[in-house]
Order: sequence, then structure tokens, then C-alpha cells
Amino acid sequence: METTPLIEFSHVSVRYGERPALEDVTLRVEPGRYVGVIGPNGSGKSTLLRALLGTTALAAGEVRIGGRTPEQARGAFAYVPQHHTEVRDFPLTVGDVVMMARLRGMAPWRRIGRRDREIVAWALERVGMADRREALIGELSGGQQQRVFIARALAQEGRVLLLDEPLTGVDAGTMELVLALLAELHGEGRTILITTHDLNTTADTCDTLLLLNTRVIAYGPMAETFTPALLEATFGRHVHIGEGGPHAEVTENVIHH
Amino acid sequence: MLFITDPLTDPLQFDFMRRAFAAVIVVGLVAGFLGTYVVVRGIAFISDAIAHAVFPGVVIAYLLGRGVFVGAAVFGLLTAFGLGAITQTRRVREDAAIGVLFAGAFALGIVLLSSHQGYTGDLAAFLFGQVLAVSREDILLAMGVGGGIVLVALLLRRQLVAVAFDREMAQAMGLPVFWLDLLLYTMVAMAIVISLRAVGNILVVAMLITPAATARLLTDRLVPMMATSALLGMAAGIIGLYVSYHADLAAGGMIVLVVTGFFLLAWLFAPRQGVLVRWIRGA
Repeated sequence: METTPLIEFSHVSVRYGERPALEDVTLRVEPGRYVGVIGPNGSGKSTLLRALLGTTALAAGEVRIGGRTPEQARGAFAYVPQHHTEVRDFPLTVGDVVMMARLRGMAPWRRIGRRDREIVAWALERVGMADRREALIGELSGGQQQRVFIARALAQEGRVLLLDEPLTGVDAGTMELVLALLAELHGEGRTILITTHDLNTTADTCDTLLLLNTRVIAYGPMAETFTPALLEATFGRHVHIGEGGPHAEVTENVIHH
Repeated sequence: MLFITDPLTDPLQFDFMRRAFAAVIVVGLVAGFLGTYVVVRGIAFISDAIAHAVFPGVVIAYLLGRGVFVGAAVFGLLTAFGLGAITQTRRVREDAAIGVLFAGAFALGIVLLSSHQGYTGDLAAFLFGQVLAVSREDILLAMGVGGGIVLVALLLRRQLVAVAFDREMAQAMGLPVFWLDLLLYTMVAMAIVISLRAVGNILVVAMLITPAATARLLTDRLVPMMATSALLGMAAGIIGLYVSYHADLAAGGMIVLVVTGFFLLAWLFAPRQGVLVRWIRGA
């Protein structure tokens, strides 16, 4: 099995037109880390993942994955893009959607092989959707669709999972299933980067935290980074952490005037 | 002497009618097939824009006495490239830019054509088609270009559909998203060019969109949708041409009317998605 690569950002900046999306980001993600990426809207969370995937141009700095450029390291990733709306009308089955993951580097004239089918079946099995393989993607609920997109990421067979807001708008059952699955995948030695708004979940599941607001506010083990002062610096307002430290109740919306 | 005329074979005694049938069959098949990509990718508006932008190319080639196909092809390719660049930047106002540019291009075509004598007759032929004047060369060209379109679109089916379904993911997997967009626009431009003679510049978009939109109502699967759409395109061409022959009405318009009729029927009566069927089931 391929080893999980080390991820390095050095002085990475990304701009969309005039607006800076990431500014001078430098960090190392050791293999096997489970990193929660949090920050307010527009703080560059999605851009950070895109910089890793090589789908956004860097204004400065460089990104290395196991010493390789993002373009060279495409096979290292399993990616769940942010889905703003549910798919409603598209003539594809669940199996078709997951099979898309197998297109990387596939010559147009090559046919889908037995191994591709086995991997798709395995991926659907892991998200508990094996019995919906022939269903149309548009027939599924938002939570079920999200599971399918996670299966598609698994079918990419990457050792680094990048998930962009995978828990936004999903039902409780899907949330539980996804978190259990991510814990399993993490246990198998994969690196996970997950962007989220949900401070509670992040504190409960991740081992490392990246606080982002265009710049890196803090990056490190949960115990050192999940502090009221740093969260306030990230979100620009006071974030209350309940008694018992970071693993206790967290309310994001308490604002002190 | 007694003639027994058969409404089905009667028109086929004329060479120009046989050519017209060949032309609408090729156009219906190619445009119907490619239309599936246009509909699932949601680029009906862009296809309309391409149709408009091709117009000055047609006029310039005509005024220079060159092959109309070449002029249209050159403008079609330029347009496809320009659109690829515009949509790549993902500016919010790109739809407005496209609208402005292509209405302008269309106006340029009309003004250029008006410099020519007997301009209204030419204009009508370009705008509304002139399928009875299709030449043997036109048909062979349409078959060659159309065959190429079908082949390429089938070969790159998975890649094109992946970009249509989830652009972000396609990009992350290293698919050449820009080139696939450009290829699709180019194929749309070529399909429009080979359809111009049959249905004309204004109605050509109907041959791309309507059969595919109809097929979408009849099936939930991609490949059956492609086949259905191609069949509907051909059927509309054949039926429209027969009606036009017997009733002495404009062929291009009649073909588009027939395919629009298909759409309305499917919209009402489609087994799963039809409005009436759902209403009856709900009642």
C-alpha cells in the first residue's frame, strides 16, 4: 500500500483578483493527522484545499505533497468538494457518480475494468449505500448524496482525505456514519483535512486544529489551539468554551458587547 | 391515365426532396445526439449565443463567394474559443457579456448582408433555412462533420459528463476542464453550422435543445437519452418535411414545430414525469 505523504505549505498566498484568499500560509501536516480546519466564511478554508489539489493558482509560495507538486501528487488525494445545493435533475445513477472517481488518468478508449467495479462496490459499502447503487442520484436526500460523494472520494483511493464542509446540512444519521467512517479511515493511517463550521464536532474528533482567517491564526494539537483567545482571534469575537475544557459544550454565537 | 399517388413515396420522386430528407436525417441525428450534452451541461444559452455568432461568418463567406461552411466554421471556432476564455474567468456578469456580444455579432451579419443586392431573399434563406436547396456536397459535408462529432462525443462521454456533473471534482482529478469545455463548444458550433441549411440560424438551437429536453422527460439514463434524442431529431426532420411538402409550408419552421410538439406530448404524457400522469396519480 502506498504510504501517506507529508504535506508542506511554505509561504503560500492565493488571490482572487485583488482580494487575498490565503496570505503567507506555512504549515506541515505529518502523515496520519486528523486536522480540523476552521474559520469564518471567506477565510480561505476551501482555497487551502484547492491549493493542495493544484486547482487554484498560487500568487506566492509552494505546496509539496511527499516532496511532489500537487499536479504530480493527484493520486494522493480523496476529495469531497463543497456542495452548495442538492443534485435534483441529472440522469446518472449512484454507481455512475462513484465511478467518476476512476477517471483520473484513464485514457478515453479504456473501458471500465473489474477492479474499478470492485472499488466502487467497496466504496459504496463503506458509506452504507451499497443497496442504492442503481438509484438515481437526484432521488436521494441531501445526506444520502453526501454519502455518495464520500464514496466517490474513497474510490479515488487517495491516502489524504480532503473534505470541504461535509457535515453541513446533513441529517443526524449521516453525520454519525460519516464521523465513524472518518475515525476508521484515520485509524488506517490516512491523513484527513476537514473544513467545518461545527466547533463541537471538530473538538471531539480531530487531533489537530488549523485556525484560519486568510492567515494562519494557530496550528497545532487540539489541546494547545482550542482556546477562547485563539478562537476569538480567528472569528473576531468571543467564543465561549464551557467548563471541562475544549471537549465540553461550545457555543459559537455568544457575543459580548 | 390514372395516377395513384402515395403521400409517403410521392415526394421521393424528386431529387431535391431526396436530398432534403437525407439532410434532415443527418442533422436530426447529430444535433439530437449532441443536444444531450447541451441539456445536461446546461448550456442552452451558450448554444444560442454560438448560433448568433456564426451568422456574420456565414454572411462574409457568402459575400466573398466562398464556401459558407468555411466562414461559419471559422466564426464558430473563434466563438468557442472566446466562450471558453470568458466562462473560465467565472465573472458574475458573464451571461450579460455573452448576450451583448452575440446580439452584436448578429447585427453585424445583417448589416453586412444588407450591402448586397436582393438582400431580403438571402436573409430569409440564412435565417429560416432552405432545405430544398441542399446540395449533394452539403450532405456529404454534414455526414463527415456529423460523424466526427458523434465519434468524439461518444469517446469522451465519461469525461464530458464528469465536467458537466461536478466541475470542481473533475478539475481536482486532473481532467483538462478548459479543453473539454472548448471541445464541447466547438462541437456545438459545428453541429449548428451543418444544420443551418436545413432549419436556418434562428431555429437551429431548437434542433439541439428540444429533442434532448424531450428525451430527458422519457428516460432517466444518459445513454438511452442520447439514443432517444437522436431518434426524435430524425423523426421530427422526416415528419416536418412531409408536412411541409404536402401543405406547402416552410420546411425549417415545420420541423421545429414537430419537435416542439414531441416535447409538449412528452411533457403532458411521459410515463413518469408527465404533468397529466402525475396529476391523475395525485388525484
